[in-house]
Amino acid sequence: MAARTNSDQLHGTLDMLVLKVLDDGRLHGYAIALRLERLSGDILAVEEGSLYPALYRMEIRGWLTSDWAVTDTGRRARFYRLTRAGRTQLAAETESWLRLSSGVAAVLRA
Amino acid sequence: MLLARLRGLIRRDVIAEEIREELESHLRDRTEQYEREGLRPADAARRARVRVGNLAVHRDVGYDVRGGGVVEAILRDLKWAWRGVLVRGWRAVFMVGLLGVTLAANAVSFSAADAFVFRAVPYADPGRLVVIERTSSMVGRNDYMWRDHMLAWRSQRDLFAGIEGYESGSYAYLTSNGVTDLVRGERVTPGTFALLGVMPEHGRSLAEADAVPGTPPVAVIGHALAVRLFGRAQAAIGQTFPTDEHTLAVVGVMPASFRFPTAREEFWQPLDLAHWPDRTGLRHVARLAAGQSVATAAPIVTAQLPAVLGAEARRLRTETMTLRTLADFRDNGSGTAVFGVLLAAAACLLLIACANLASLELAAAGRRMRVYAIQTALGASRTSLIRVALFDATLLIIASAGVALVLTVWGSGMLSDQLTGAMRDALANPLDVDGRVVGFMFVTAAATWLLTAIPVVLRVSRASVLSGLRDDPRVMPVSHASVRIRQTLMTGQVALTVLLLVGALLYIRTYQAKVGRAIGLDVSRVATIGVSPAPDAAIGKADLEAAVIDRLRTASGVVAFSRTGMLPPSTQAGGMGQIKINGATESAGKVMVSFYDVDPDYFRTMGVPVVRGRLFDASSPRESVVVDEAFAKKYWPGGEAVGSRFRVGGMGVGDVSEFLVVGVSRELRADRTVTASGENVFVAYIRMSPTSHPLTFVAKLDDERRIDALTAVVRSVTGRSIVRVDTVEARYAKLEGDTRLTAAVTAGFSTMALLIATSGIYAVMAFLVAGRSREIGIRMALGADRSDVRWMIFASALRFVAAGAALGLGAAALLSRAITAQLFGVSPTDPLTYAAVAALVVLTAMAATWWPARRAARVDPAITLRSE
Repeated sequence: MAARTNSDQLHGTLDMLVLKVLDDGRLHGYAIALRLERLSGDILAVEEGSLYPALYRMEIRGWLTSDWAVTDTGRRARFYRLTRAGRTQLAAETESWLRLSSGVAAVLRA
Repeated sequence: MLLARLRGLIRRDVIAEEIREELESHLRDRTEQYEREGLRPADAARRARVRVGNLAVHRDVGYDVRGGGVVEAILRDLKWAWRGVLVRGWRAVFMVGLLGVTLAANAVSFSAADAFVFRAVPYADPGRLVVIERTSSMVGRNDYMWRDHMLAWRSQRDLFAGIEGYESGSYAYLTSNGVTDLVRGERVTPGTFALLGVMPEHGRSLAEADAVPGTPPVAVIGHALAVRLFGRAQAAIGQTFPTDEHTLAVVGVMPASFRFPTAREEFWQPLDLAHWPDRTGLRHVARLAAGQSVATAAPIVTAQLPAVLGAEARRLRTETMTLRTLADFRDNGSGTAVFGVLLAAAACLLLIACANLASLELAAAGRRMRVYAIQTALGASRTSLIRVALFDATLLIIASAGVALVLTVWGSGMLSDQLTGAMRDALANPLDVDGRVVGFMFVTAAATWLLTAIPVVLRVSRASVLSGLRDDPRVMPVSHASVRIRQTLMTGQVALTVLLLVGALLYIRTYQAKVGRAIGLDVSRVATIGVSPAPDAAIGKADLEAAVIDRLRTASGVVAFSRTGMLPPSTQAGGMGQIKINGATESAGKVMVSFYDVDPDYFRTMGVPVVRGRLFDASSPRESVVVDEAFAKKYWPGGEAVGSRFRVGGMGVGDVSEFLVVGVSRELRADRTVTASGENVFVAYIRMSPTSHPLTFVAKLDDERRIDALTAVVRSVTGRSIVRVDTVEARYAKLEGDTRLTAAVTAGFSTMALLIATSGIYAVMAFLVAGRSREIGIRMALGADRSDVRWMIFASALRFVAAGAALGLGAAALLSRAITAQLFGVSPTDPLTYAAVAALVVLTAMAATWWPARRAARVDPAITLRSE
């Protein structure tokens, strides 16, 4: 957990990352956080204080839907799933992120 | 997503609980993971709690996002808005009352316009219901058609899906509370209901078999008649009721909304088209075939006319035949015009009310700037302030709409009672408060909400902590912009009020001109009496008449009375033809002469003076007539009318066709004021034939209040017969029912407008005087005396009142052209009317300014300046 990225830098990209993680299927909140940590090789740590408001916000915007179900460990949890609008949003955000990051990389390399 | 929000609104505890459960589950997962990584349970739990952070904080943040936070904020703002309403006190009552009344005025106007014009005919797909309208110089426009022509048009299947005929039917007699009344029936071809697309709610429709002669007579009756006769609509089927011709068996009951052909008919008998006499017109209604519209069918009808009408086509070539929708034919633009004017007037009133309230609210917002500033300083968001302002306006509008709804129900009932004669008959739909009216009120209320709330919201959105707190609370902050807006609103109110007043005055003068012109005599206290003998009356018409005459002779308070062929303003036999005097043709074209078939006492009863010659009496020859001055002047310019004989084409009254002039009476305008300037319709009186018993009388009373006693006297000898007593004045007034209605409603609206505008002027002036008290104090300290100050206030009011009046008069001059066709005896730009309105508005405005001006003049410079 040494070189964690500042959460400020994450702000704005969190939505995109959550959408990306959910692209593979439905997950509950903790699993989303875990998956993000794993996928980023423990570089990104999601703060619960940001994750849940982000999930609720995206649900209200219609990008996600949620329902209560039982986890592998037999506990009740709220599972989130991408909607069609969420998928469109993910594509749009990925596209603009890739453009931005390649631009930034080009400047840094110069 | 919407569902989640709604759930949040209703069950906020559930949401909070859900979030808590989700977060705790997260915390347990995190703890278990740390345990799996090798930590002892206690350490794992501690570390997980540190990692996850404060659950309560997360829950609150989550709750805000998911909806609970907003709900709480909204509830808080609503509470503030409610306080805002309470703080207004009497102003809130005034606003709710004012808006309630104006919204109701609009809704009532709309309900009438809707019943008359918008929902013109309550039949299925009414746009396809048409009539072939005939217009001729002789009989005007009508929808009469011969049977053979109707059958010929029926066979044009590509043009008409159906065509049905109708003609007035028999009368039923209903007795309630000892008074018998008539109910009109209509004969219709059995396919009529199917053609109109309205079927009975109980029982069956009329069938072709019902029309066959010899079958027991049946009828379909209206819902209201069924209830009156049999208590319940369902109970009517199979029952019978008597009419003046037959006893009819009820086979069906039409829905309450069904009216055909007017609102007056309450039962329908089958019309036997096969046995309808040749060459006798009956009225018709047709439905266009699928794929046809008035536009596509009209040229085909014109092209087919010669083929369908056959030999008749040549005789009818002087007529024009036009295909028109049923609604268009019935209304002929008059309802559209009347209710167009009423709706426009009501909309004007609403705009005035909106301007007035916006102005009041703006002043209130100005006074509350300091409160807003404090609220902002304490952390209220701008959104929240705007929301409070909007809620505040919403609460007032909802209250107003509630008041308006009650007033609308009451008002449309009253309007329904006020409708007279032709207008009541033309009412194709019940005049009530239905979903459409409520919808209209919702839309107008929403528009009002926007108009009154917008200026306030704009003001609030600019609320600033600094200026709000900096300004001296003892001096009301008067910003120049807000004063300008309020003066503009005031100018607009004055202009609209002037416009309404001009319109109302024009209609009032039209009504007076029409009624005054129609009568041209003193007919005050003249009652009309009509007796329709009951079908089972034991005595004949002659005996009944003798009995009534006997009673009238001895009744107290009857100054004079006479039999008359028809009750004024109806005339006995209106005939058209060329005038021949002593055998020589005198008129180039055809002239209309209306004959009044009367007894000699008619002249005394109706107050018709004979200016030359004498009256006819019982011994005069049958052909004796009295002509009116206009007739005499036109054809006997030398004054030699008395003693002449004349004919009117081939027209005759009874057995007389050549008339002997024995006297000339004071000019009487014809009963139809709309007839070309009254110049082409002349009046003649002829003595009633001794064998005629019309059972219609006029009686001059010494006091109009005796009319009820008179009714009782007549009824005492007429048994179950129907007795209708009215006054001549009322009967003439009914002719002008729509003018009277327009005059009365516009007068009411403009009076309200004047009151609202006056209160507005007072409010603005009082506000200005309060705001300028320091300035006034300085002026007075510098030597201005009280009358200077008073004049200064008057002048500042006069500036925008005069501007508004000028604007209103200009608009009236432009817009009144649109109502020229509805005016009579007064020009749309009548200078007297305009001057009177201008004077009225300016004087009223000055009166409203008097109190503020007096207060300004009472300003004590010592006190005002000390408060600095």
